[in-house]
Amino acid sequence: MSARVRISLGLAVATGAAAALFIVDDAYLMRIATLGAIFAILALGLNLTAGHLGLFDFGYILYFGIGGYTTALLTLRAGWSWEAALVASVLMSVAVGLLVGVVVLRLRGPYFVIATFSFLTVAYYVAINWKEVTNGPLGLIGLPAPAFNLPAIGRVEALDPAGALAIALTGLLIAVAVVWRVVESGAGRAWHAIRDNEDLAASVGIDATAYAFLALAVSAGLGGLGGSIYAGYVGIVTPEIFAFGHMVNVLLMVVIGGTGTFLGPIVGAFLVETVPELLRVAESFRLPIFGLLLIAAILFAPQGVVSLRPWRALRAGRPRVPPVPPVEEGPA
Amino acid sequence: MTDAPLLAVQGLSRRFGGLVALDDLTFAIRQGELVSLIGPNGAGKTTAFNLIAGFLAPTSGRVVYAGRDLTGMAPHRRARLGLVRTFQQAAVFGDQTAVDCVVAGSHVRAEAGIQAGFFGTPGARRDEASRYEAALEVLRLCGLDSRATSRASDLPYGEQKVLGIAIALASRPRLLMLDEPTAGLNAVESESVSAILDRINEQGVTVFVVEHDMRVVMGLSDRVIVLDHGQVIADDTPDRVRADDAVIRAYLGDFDIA
Repeated sequence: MSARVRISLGLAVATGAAAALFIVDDAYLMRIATLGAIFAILALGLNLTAGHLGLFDFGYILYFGIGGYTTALLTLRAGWSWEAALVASVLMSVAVGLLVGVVVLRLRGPYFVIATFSFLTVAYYVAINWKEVTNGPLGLIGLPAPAFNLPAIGRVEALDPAGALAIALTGLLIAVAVVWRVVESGAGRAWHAIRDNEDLAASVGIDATAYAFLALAVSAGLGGLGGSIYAGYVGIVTPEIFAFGHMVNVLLMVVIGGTGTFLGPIVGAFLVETVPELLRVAESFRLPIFGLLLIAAILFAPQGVVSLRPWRALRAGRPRVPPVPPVEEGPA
Repeated sequence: MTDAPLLAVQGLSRRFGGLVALDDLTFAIRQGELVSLIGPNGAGKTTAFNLIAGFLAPTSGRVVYAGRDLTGMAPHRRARLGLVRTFQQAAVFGDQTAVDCVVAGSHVRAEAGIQAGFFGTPGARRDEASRYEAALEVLRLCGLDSRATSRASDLPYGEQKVLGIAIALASRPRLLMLDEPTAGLNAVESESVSAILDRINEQGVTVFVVEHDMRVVMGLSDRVIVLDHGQVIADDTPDRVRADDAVIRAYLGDFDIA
């Protein structure tokens, strides 16, 4: 199966799933899908640095928060429309990303992880303590819900579950297109070279610093995009937007889905958003069971769920077959 | 200008704390030559390579390449000028196929930019296709064409080292510096690596190689530079270097022949 067929098939499945959601029109399902789509944008963004460039940005949620706060401040304090605030949020996150990059991109390995995490921690405390701007721990409340009139479609409102889902999916679509084109542009190849052997990459003329800045900038921009949509959707931005829990979730999405793959972060995001909901039947055992499932996923699919056999068989166009048992070795 | 050397190393020194790794190193390499750098362990050969390629900064002295002072220039910029080095350990982009590694090596030869690639212009596609073709050609030259789709880290050590040379070649170097290309290889593999070096040199690439295998050195080199304790102790044709007293002393120790 050629790449073209695979992409068409993937698009068809995604379109079908989205259409089913809109047809079933269940507010609860649409809410889960909306959050899944928003976090898929973030997972795609984190995967650029963590997966493609090979630097684990442990403070990635910083850009989510910057996007959220920028949107909240511009809509509430400056009376901007959400669409305008969204564009500004993306640009603001890119700018912050480049500034953070000046410090963190000098570092590698654990030092990079610690430095990025430190920036996130600083942002969290700034959001709590800079009360004149952020309103402290109470946060900024009552963001106007995104709403527009679209020709042929009519009014799209984030207050309406279907409208929110449509907005989140549009954001995800933009993110997918950007990531796909950037990775295919030749930057992807350079990132992979840097990830696999930075000295060797430099020895054949690849400017590791410039490509690292590119990865961080695009990744931060996607974080800002996700943060802005999230803020418009939930209508409130508090310091908890910088919470480490979000960071862990996005990390899980990337790792569970498949670090450095194209589909992995998207699949991972919807899994991490959906599975705990499915486990609600287990009541108070929900989170322990989810934890065990995560451990199982990492044990049995260390390359991410998109690397699993049935998935690969589907991708390669082979019929689904059970895995062949290993051949017994040694004397019969 | 035609007589000016391609590479001129002028008074290059490097200290690591109290240790003098290179002491006032001076030599030159002309366009089209195949020059070997030899010397006992710890003589400073790899340090010299790192300084010339820009992976280490010299304590003093300078490197002039194609008439340009390279002081302070980052390694990737030197590579863009055609000064490309390989590494002593097999160095490949492990997670990628052999042909993808070589395509990555041709990064600086991409005609279309990242913006063109982003929008998938016809120029960018042609560029991608031609780099892929060129990569296969380089793999053929290095005898690795049958391994094109193998994952680099799955290749045996000897083939990984050759792949390292192929990656360097893909960037179309003017001066290719190889750090012990045959170290860790068996006799057959060494033989094929020296044949590759010979072919590369015939195609007009200036080759500068750190080498321990004397058969490779003596059979291949136009000239041999011998380092000992961070200093050049000989710089001459292979035959003359072989007979040089200082070289013999450096390798075998100082003793009187009774």
